[in-house]
This record gives sequence, structure tokens and C-alpha cells, in this order.
Amino acid sequence: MKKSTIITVLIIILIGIMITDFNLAGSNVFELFFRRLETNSFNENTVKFNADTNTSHKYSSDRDLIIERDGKNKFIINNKLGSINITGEDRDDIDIKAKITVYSDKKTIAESYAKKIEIKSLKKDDKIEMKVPLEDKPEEVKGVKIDYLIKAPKSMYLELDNQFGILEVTNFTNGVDLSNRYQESIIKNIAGEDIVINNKFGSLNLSNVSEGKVMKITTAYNKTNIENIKRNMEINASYGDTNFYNTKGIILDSKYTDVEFDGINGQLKANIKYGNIRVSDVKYDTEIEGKYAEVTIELARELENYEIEGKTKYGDIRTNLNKNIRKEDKNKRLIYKKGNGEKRINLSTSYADLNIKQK
Amino acid sequence: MKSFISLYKKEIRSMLFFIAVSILIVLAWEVFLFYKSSVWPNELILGLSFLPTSFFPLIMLWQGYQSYRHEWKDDTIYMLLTLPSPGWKISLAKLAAGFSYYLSVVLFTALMIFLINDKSFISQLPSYISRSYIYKTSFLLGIAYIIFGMTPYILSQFSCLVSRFYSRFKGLISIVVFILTNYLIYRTASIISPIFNWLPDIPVKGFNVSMGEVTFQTMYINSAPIISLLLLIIFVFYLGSFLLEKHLEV
Repeated sequence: MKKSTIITVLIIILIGIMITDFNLAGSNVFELFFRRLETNSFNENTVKFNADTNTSHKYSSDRDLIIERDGKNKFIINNKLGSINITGEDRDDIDIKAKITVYSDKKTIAESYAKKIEIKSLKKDDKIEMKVPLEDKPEEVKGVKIDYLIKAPKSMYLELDNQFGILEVTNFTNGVDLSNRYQESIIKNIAGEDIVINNKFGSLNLSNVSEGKVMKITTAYNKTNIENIKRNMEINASYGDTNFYNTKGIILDSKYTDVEFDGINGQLKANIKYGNIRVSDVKYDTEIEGKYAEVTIELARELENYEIEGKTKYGDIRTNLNKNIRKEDKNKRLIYKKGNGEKRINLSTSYADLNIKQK
Repeated sequence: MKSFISLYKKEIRSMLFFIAVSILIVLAWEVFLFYKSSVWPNELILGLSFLPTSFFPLIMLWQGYQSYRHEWKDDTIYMLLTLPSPGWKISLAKLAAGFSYYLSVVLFTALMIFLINDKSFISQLPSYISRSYIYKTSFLLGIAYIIFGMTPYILSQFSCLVSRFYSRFKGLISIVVFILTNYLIYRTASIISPIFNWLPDIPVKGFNVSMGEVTFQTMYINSAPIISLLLLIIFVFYLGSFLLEKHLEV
């Protein structure tokens, strides 16, 4: 028999085996090889809320407290580990339900310390501050988590700093200063003069904020949704996604973030680097300066009097406005005026495109 | 040894033009990036400077196929087979030449990456990423990359040799054999790997940044499937050499 015939037979047999194998095992044919590379070390849990809390035991204990307001106006909590759920109500005292969880490798120590921990309130000047003294914490205790469920007078100013847990704040009328890291924040129905919100490494959902002074928001490494805001805001957003719906005027400073606006009832001034920006329904003065940022705007149907100036460097301008785009070397420029040019829309970007659409 | 060196030299001579072209293309690309470094962001320049490395394994695949194809094309196979050298020595000389090519372009690219990129970012890295960690990890990745690139060379060399048993459809047969060989070595390596479970695992030190906390963890990769795969690749290499020496007729 010829050698080529033997090889042909061999190839045909091997093709048959391969096809049958793929039919029976599917992707496992190759997956098995990579599965074999795994050892038990691959399954060890490396995601911890705290490097020290990878413990074998935890024990939870509940506390109920009622604190009289005594005319104080500011309520402060600094919670290093846990959640805060606080609701404003028409009342004169603060009702606190707390769940204390202690982590330790020793079961008895976790249990005894969880029962021992006290939650104290400190009243000084115009404020009430919640304190959890942990000075006598045994060495074997690796972490103490406190989850608060609070009902407080809605006219109190809140100063909350939370980490590694959900922060939920509802219905407060005298301003807030809220900070949360490593978990989600849900904030709604807020009024008052000063509103400051800081959220990192966890999503932020902010809704229903009344008229008042400019509020300040800082977000990073998260997804942010902001809607139904009746006051102007300054927002600093980085490394995430941010969506605005039905807001007043905005001053935005962002980097590495995709931003979307729908329904801005005020001026927009945005400075964006390394991200895309889309603004729907533009009715007011708008100024966007981008770098490595694709800018897309959609002019509102009712916008009759405006002047638009758009320019990009190393990018294109796309528009359905009946206007020629001037090209100068690497720069493209568009100037368009409608009516008396009352509203000013200035758009500029570089290393990215500019999209302008008239509805 | 003398015959091996002369075979190696012959292979290198035939590759010289290709080496020069490859190095010039890499040089042109890296110089272009250097020119753009004042305009484009540093991160982009760093990423794009690695682009040539994604093509090298493909070039090795082509080189492996060409290493024997050109012997038939140039009618030098008669002379090669009449040499008093065993098949494995001929294949090894070609493999060594291919490896030299691969190593030279990889090292040249690494040098260019080092030269054109702004290295200030290393000092800006968090303190938990030490310089020794970067260098050690880069070295290990380099070794893995070189093994990754030599595998298609050996497999395509074998595919070319098998196709020489046929007078027609050599290209098509090479492709079929290449696919089959890949399937067979990965499948067989998965099946036989438990035999080598006694071998020590390979430690890989990694870190995980989660919720602001840095956790270092040494993960262990099972070396058994890697050893099985390497043994099978060596087997394919010897099988090709055996076919060349004993069964291929010219």
C-alpha cells in the first residue's frame, strides 16, 4: 500500500474521531486542558470587604435605641463597615435599630464581644453624634460591622460617612453631607441649603432634590443616575458612567466617564476628558469642551433662536443642519445661527467626533 | 556538532532578508509611535508599542511551514537528505534558526518598547507593586510568550512534512494536518496530564484590589498539563524528523 494512502486513511480516521469528539464534548475538548491547569488555590476567596475579615465565625447582636433630639440640628454617623438606612419623619426623637456583627476566628470571642459592644450618642453643641467605642476590642476580633436602620426628624442636617455597605437616605429637608464608599448609595427626596454627596466604588442613585443652593457631587469608579433635580449642581465624575434625567443647570468636570443628559432645564457647562458625552433635548446655553471625547447633542424642537459653534481637531463633524463645515488642516469648524441667536451653544473637542442633530 | 552548525548557518543565511525586513517594520512602527508620543496619550503609545508582538506567532507559523517548503521549491531537499545527518538534527537546525529569528525580533521589540515609552509611570504605580515584581512577572510572561510562539512553528513544520507525501493539494493537506495536530496534542495532553500530577505546581504571585483593599495571593498553576503538552510537542517534532529521514521520498 502506498504511504500516501496510509496517511490519507489515518487522516480520515482522525477527522472522524475529532468530529465525533466535538459533537459529544463540545467546547470541553479544549476547556478540559485549561481546567487541568487549575489548582485549589484558584477557588480561594480573594474578594474580601476587608483584608482582615476572612474569618471562620461571625456573631450578630441587635440594639434598639431612642435618642431625644433636645433641639439639636445635626446628626452625625461615621460607620467604617456596614450599612445605613435612614428615613426622615415628622418626629422629635431618633429611633435607631442597629445590628452589630463581629467577625473572629474564635466563636466565643465573636459572641461575647458582639454582646458587649455599646452604641453611644454624644450630644455636643448643635449636634448628635453616634459613637461605637472599640478601644477594648480583643486582638482575635477581626472586624465589627454595624448596620443601622434609623428614623430621624426630617428637619435635621445629616452628616453621614459610610463604607462597605449600602447608604439609603430618604426624605430630609435641611441639607445633607453624605459619603459612601465601596457600595451603593440611594438618596431621594432631599431639600435644604447645603447638599454635598460623595460616592466612590459603588453606584449612586439620586432623585427628587428640591430648589436651593448649588449642590456638589463627586463620583468615581461607579455608575451614577441622577434625576428630577430642581437646583443647579456641580459634579465631578471619573472612571464610570453617569446619566442625568430632568435636571437644572449643571457644571460637569469628568474624565474616563461616559455621560448622558436627557432634559436639562438650565445651562450646561461640561469639561470632559476620555469619555463620550450625549446631550438630548438642548434648550439652554450649552458649553462643552472635550478631549478624546465624542460629543453628541440633539437640539430641542422648540429651540428657535440659537447660535452654534462647533469645532474639532483630528475628528469629524456630522450634522443634519444645512450648513457647510469648514476644514482647515486638522481642524473642522461649523458655525450656524438660527433666529436671533439668543442661546449660545459652544462645542469643542479633539481626537474625536462632533455630532449635532436638529430634531 | 559541526554538521549541525553548518545546517544552522545555512538556515540563518536564508532567513537574513526576512529578519532585516521584520526588524525594519518594527523599527518603523516604534519610531512612528515615538513621533506621536507628544500628541497621543502615554497609555495609548504603551499599548500600541506592543502591537507587533501579536503578529510574531503568526509569522512563526508561516516560517515553520516555509522552512521545509522552500527546500522542495528550491530543489535543495535532495542535497539535504543525502547529508550524513539524522532527521532530528536537520529539523533541530531549522528550529534553532526559527528560534533565533523569533528571539531577535522579540528582544528588538522589547528594547524599542523600553526606549520609546515614558517610564515615569513605573514610579507612579502604587507602592504594593514593586519593581522586582514587575521585572519578574515580565520575564515569566516573556518565557510563556516565546513557548507560545514556537509551538505553531513546530506544528506547521510537521504539517508541511506530512503534505509532502502527496503530489497535489499540499496546502490543503497542510491546513487539515495542522488543525488535526492541534486537536490531538491538546486533547491528549488533557487526558495524560494526571500522570504528571506529582510534579510541583507553578507559583504565580498576583494581587487583587477589591473595595479599596489590596490582597496578595500566590496562585498555583498545575504544571502537569503544561509538561504533557510540551512532551507531545517534542513528540510531534521527532515524528516529523522521523518521517523526513525514513519515509519521505523525493
